[in-house]
Amino acid sequence: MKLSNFPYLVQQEILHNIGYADLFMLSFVSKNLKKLIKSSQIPRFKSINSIVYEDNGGNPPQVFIHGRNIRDMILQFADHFTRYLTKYFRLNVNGTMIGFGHAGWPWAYGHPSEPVIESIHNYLPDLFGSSVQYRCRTSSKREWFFPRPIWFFPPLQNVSVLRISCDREKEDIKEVWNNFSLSPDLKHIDLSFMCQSVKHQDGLLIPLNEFTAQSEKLFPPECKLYQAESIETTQFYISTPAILSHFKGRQAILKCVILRSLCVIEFVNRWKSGEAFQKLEYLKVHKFNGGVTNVPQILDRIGAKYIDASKTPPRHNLPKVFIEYHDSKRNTLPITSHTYVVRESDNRVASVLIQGRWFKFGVWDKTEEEFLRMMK
Amino acid sequence: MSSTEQGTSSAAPAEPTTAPESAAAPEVPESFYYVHGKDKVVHKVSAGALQHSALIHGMISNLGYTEEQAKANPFPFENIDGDILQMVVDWCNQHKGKPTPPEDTNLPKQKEKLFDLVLAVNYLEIKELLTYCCKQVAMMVKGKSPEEIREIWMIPTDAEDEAAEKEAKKRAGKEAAGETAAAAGDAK
Repeated sequence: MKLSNFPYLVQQEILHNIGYADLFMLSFVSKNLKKLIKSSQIPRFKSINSIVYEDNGGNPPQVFIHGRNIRDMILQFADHFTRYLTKYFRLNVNGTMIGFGHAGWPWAYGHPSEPVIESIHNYLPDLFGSSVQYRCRTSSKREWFFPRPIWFFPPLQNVSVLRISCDREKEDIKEVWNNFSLSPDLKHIDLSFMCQSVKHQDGLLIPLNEFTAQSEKLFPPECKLYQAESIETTQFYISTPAILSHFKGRQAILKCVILRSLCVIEFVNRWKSGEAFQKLEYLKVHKFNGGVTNVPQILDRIGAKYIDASKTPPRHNLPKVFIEYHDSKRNTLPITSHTYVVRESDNRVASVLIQGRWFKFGVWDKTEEEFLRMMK
Repeated sequence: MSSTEQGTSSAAPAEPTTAPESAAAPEVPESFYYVHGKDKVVHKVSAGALQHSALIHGMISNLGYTEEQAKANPFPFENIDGDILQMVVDWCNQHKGKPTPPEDTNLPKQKEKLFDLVLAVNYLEIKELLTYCCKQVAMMVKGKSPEEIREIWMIPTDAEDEAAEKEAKKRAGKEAAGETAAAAGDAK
């Protein structure tokens, strides 16, 4: 009995009950079957939010499909043979012969830096659709996994989101920036930089208490981190990385333990002068421990202006550059503040809110006159 | 078969002098229909069990047979093997008037039987059973390599597909040429 003997709707129902990992394997059976998968599973594939390469802190990367309420692994890369494999076979993936195995899910053999991952990466949009966002998630590996690359940064086209965790006690970030420089321009970066010390390029160990002094060395201004359209960081000091000095993108969310008022003041004054942050639309700083202090002094030193207390200020919010899941909030958190500053070069307004643990900064696409007219 | 008799409990209380009106409503006796497959073996099935099949339900709702008429006119399903129809009837009886469970583990394990059951169930439009069957067919390829899948589902290779396509085109071309010649002959 052949699958093709079933009516189309039955074939569709059968395919609908097959997990993504098996659908991936199924797509290699024949061109006609691949066509059937693509045409019959359109609504299902449209619900895929992203395909994520995740190195899981030590292993060669795994490939996950993220969708509404799902996180399915479809493939594991491997640079060595594992004894758990139940079978071994070779497949032609976009002209590259790749060895595959199966141990609960498919394994593809080949070092992640070899063409294996590139061939598979180029195959996935053809199967699952080109509207899917490709993301990469990497975290530093344990010593015993060496000499593999410490980080996994695929130099792949269409990977637009990167999540990096540098949270070990001693981080060797030389590899981060070497590999990072090869990555394509990114739409969003999520960086967790909560390590205790960093082994720098020259081999010197920089402890946490020297991060601020060595900030430019750790995250130089030309670092790709500052080029992303959107960024979210969790860091110990507000100055390392120095998003408030060098960020060139549109939206930033920073979470930090130590927030120096001077950084905030310098940031606002540089924005006002028009010398930096021309593209910035939204900034949110969250201080982990305790509220932001010296608020009157900050407001005074940034030359804040005030809306009449009897009036309701306009609410600033705009579409997010990066939306994690289909059902995540699509807009930035609203900023409603009586305080604002004006950019000297083009008279643009930014709402400023310092409240509890938060510093929020929302740039309006309006001049001061237009902004004030909104309250009439 | 579902032919349980109603109201034969021996523990029935003595007849009340004045029975309440609402409790006295007599139950409508269940009606039965008859079906047969390729083997002509007739199965008696209650209308309640047959409700699972949208096809048969549609047929009987338009009929209004008496018990005798239904017995004399079993629904013929010549395209369904007798043992497969038996499976379908058993499933309908088992799930008569009950909510269907999320899984059904009693489906045939043999590939050929399962595939025949899928075709029968699809024809008879038994939605829940079709879902179970499709899940079971899908499970057949879990963890398999493309070559193993090809074998299980008898999927032609690309070369075989191309050859079949060429053959179909050739045949269509010949048929079209034949039709043109016949039309020309008719015109003469």
